[in-house]
Amino acid sequence: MSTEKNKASVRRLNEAINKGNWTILPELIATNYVFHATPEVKGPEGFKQSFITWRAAFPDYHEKLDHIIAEGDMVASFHTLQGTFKGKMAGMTPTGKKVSIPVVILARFEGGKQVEAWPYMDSLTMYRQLGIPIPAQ
Amino acid sequence: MSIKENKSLVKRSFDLLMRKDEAFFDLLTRDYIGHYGDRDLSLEEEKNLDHAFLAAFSDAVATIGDMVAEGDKVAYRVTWRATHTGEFMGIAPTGKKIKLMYSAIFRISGGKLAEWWGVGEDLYQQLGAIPKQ
Repeated sequence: MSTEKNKASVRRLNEAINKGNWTILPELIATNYVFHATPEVKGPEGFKQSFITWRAAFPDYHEKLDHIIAEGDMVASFHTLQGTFKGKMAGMTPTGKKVSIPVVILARFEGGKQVEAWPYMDSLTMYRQLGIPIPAQ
Repeated sequence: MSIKENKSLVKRSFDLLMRKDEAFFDLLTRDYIGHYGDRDLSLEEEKNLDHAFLAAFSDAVATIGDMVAEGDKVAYRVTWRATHTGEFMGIAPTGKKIKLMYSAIFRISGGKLAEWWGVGEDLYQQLGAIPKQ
């Protein structure tokens, strides 16, 4: 059943992110993939680059997969994002503090690959945990 | 309960909440827990928070987006639009319009809402970040 395959794909992506294994991304993420963050992230290459940036700032970056459910062409996955702020991020000096926040990703699948995903996270709590100023809005 | 019934239950809960109908709380189990990031709320604490929110944002309307249901869980995303007309968490009414977006999952047990995990930008901080007029 495709919902089981889609969930397995999300689990594999979670493992790939945690291990920094970027070579399998094209198997899991479509070329026309759009990740609806600000700014948008596009395709497997965009996805890889954004995580390389994260891991430069958080060398121990880890996403724990807490819940995963699927229906139709959608998968909702709930993660806990964790890491220690040790490398520069967006020009900010690392504080050495730890972040641990929940993240939800809603993902839409087509032909066995993710084509679109929407993240939900409390970035304001993340800034507070890391001891960095909230960016001007 | 079927997936269809679970989704209906979640939709009904929003309808009741928006109408400020106390019957909303009858849909929650006695041992209900609401996981708000770093805080876990009991049924009583959830009631207090919801009462405070609806009193401070009197015209609150929720628009539910995609729902994903499987087994005993329903995930969804929602956008609340409201005006800050009453005091909320020590912040005097600003008259500002807010848009609160989050994604959440309900766990359903015995036909009721037993547990909730919600993730989105912290409302309290959003309000605190709004310049006072």
